[in-house]
Amino acid sequence: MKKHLKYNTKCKLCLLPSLIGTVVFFVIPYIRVLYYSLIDNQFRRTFVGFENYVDTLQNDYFRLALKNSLLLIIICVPALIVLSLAVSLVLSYGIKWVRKTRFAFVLPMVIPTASIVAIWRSVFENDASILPIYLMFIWKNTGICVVLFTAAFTAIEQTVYEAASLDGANSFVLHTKITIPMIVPTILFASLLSIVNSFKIFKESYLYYGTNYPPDHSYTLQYYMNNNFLKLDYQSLATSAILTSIIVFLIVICGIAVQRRYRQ
Amino acid sequence: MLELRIRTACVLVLCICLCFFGGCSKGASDTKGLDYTGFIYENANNAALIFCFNETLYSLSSAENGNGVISAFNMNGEVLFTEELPELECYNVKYMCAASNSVYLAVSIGETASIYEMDLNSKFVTKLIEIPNAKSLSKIGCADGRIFWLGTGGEIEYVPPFKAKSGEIIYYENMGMIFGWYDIEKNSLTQSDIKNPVTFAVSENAVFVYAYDEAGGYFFYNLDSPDDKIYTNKLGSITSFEFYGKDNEIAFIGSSAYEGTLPITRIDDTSGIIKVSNNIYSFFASDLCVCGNYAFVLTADNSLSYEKHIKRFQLSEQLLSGEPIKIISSQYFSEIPFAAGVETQFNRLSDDGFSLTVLSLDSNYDLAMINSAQLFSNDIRTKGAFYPLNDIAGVQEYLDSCFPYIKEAASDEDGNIWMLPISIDIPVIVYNAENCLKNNISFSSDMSDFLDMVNYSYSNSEYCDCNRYELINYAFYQCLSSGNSFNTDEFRKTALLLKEKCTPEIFTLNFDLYSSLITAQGDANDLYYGKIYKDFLFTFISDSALQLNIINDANLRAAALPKENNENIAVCTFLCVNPYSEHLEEAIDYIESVAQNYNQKNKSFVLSDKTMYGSGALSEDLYDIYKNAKIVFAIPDEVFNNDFAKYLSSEITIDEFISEADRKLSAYLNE
Repeated sequence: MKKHLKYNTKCKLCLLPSLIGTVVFFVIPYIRVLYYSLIDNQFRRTFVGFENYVDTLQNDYFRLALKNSLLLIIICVPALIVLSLAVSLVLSYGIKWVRKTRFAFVLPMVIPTASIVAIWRSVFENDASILPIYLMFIWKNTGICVVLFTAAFTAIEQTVYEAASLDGANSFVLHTKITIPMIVPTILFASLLSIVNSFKIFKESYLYYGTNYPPDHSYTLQYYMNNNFLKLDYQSLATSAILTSIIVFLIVICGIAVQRRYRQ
Repeated sequence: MLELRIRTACVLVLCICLCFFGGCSKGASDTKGLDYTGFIYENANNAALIFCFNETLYSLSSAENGNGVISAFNMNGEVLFTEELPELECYNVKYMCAASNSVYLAVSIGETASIYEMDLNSKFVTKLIEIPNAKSLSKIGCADGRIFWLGTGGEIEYVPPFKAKSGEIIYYENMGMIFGWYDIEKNSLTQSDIKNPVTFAVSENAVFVYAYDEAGGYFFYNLDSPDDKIYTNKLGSITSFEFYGKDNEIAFIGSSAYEGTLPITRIDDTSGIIKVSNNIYSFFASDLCVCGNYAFVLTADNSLSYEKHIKRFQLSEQLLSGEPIKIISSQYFSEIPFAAGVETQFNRLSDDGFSLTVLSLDSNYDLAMINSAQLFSNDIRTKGAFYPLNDIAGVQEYLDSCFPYIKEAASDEDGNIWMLPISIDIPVIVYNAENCLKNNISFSSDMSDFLDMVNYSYSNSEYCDCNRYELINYAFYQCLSSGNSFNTDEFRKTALLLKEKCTPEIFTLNFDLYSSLITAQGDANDLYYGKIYKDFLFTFISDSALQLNIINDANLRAAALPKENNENIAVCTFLCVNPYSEHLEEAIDYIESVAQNYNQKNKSFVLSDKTMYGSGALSEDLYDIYKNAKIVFAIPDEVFNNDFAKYLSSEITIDEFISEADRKLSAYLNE
């Protein structure tokens, strides 16, 4: 018991630096931002309750930004996951020479964003539609998803496939009944990661359109927050940041719930 | 006995109180009432050198035949005497100094350096000594029966820059300077063995040489205690310095490390550098002397001007106490920084850095210097990121004396005074009335006629200049000043006209025109600028400081840029006080000093008193333009610039341009 307690204490001590970092760099700033979202102005500091939230939710441009950010998630994240899965399957189980091209999928992750955008602009010749941004997001994030899925495939015991093959399962059945169900946690993780990354598409979008005021279809939450920052509007910035964090939190909760249900 | 004790106690308490309040007093508050604009010696024109001794200012100027003329003035600028030097050309006299009954002159002719003496009683001039090792003299000074001199004569060597212990990179240019003195009574000449002297000054009881060595960079060195070198690299190389006060306070000019207005400091590193004046750059100053608490500077108004004035500034020993005022800005301002006798430290940030500093309630800055053409200028007001100036003495009076539209812009909807206006700029066309009349050029307030006239002028003469980029910007702000939309007939008409008639091929820039206005005024025989000045038609000037430089030119007039409504668009540069400043009290004192000083002397077309600006035709024109204006706060250029460029290159139609610009403007205003 004494030994066990000692081990426990050691574990807690090891966790302490990380915990302090989380509190100092995440929890305290978050509470401050929350506080700023409840006052009229950081210079006058009058408590206004949820007035800023009401204003923000009623703001046409916040709603436009929210809609665009959610559309990006709804359209691009499933497409990204399906594409990554397909690529991973081909890389893991497909033709051998294709496997040699796997490094190509990781390249978008290491190329600087400015270079990517320069190439993208020349490819799309300054197409002002949303398509280049969606494709850029998928192209840039495929690599990390492929790495995650390929690792998950490797973790599946070969004996499971052999047993199913002996029972007469063909390749399609093997993957739909064994491979996919067994990597569901990884799919969920990759989805959450992609959702979080979808909120970070601002840099690519800003460089592509070259302005803080892109076409309406590309105006995402980060544009809203960035522009309010430049206008010294800390309240709108804080409020939209809190609302965004709530949305991300809800998505994560849903993801975890789905994951638990799958496990059961 | 008891009475004595009570008296002693009272004296002690009084002393403690005095020490306490004296110790607590900050620099800014001690400087109130000082004259930072400077008193100009109107009777001393074309001076080449100045020197002050026993409350008499001596100047050397040139007679028509080129001979030197020595004039003496009292402290009020009245002439005491004028004497021509029959055998000395003004050009050859490099420096002058004075003692009880004599004025000494450093004369360099060819490669011969000599010191001459003028007897103040007989006004007779004699050659005192020739300095064999010196090729020329750059400074002399008298003390204790000796004349100290600094000149060239040593070997010129390249000295690589090096990093001082403080981390600064130190640059020194070895011009082969040598230093020495001449003992008048003994008639003996001594050359000091000090290496790399830069300049020197004579104080009440010592002679200090400013020199350089490779051990620690620049240092001050008392001739009487050669082992004590006082290293300080805050000044870099300086042209000249003079002592005042009792604690080694100096005023200096021509510093390579400090670009501010007439600065003062101490010779050690115990104090920062403080600006004394608000309207001269020490860079333009060619000579400096100090008498008691007055500094006299021989200075031009700008780098191009030949005309130099003698300006007198009051110095104060108390100036060196107190905290520096830290000012943040995200732009370079052409306005000369106002002084108010305190040390100001400018921190130039990026736009994002500026926003972050303000939003994070940073207490490490005191003031923000902004102009209305910067994006966040209006946000400072609307978000309340300012300390209200209503209760600061002199601010309300200053605003009352400004043009009404400036006063209006300085207050928010709750009546808080959120900024202190420093200067106002309105772009204008400055033209030569006679030349334009000869060429049938007149400037209409209608955009179409105006552009026609500029096009016509460009096709017939090379002496015209109109800044296309600023004209376009101005036209856009004109349209926006009456509403928050580009979708108006007025804007459509302007955009069409600009595309049709304002092309970069025609609207070329010619910077020589403005230079000719400055240069040729002082030297009509200038081979290059004189010709340009003679044929000059018009130029575009947006900066009021540049407009003020030429305000007395009787040949010039000014025309406002074309406008659809009646008001000209003005850009206002202003100061805001950081409400979270850790030196709020000093910042308020500083604002009080600035407001009280500007109330009478701010000539940047801020004050509504017409008599401030003279009575010439150009000043009348400018006054009328500035009187009838409006401050419009900036919107991001990107709202219209990129699309306007596309429209100009016919990539998009006028309707697409207006629709896109309007969409972006709506997003900017409503997000």
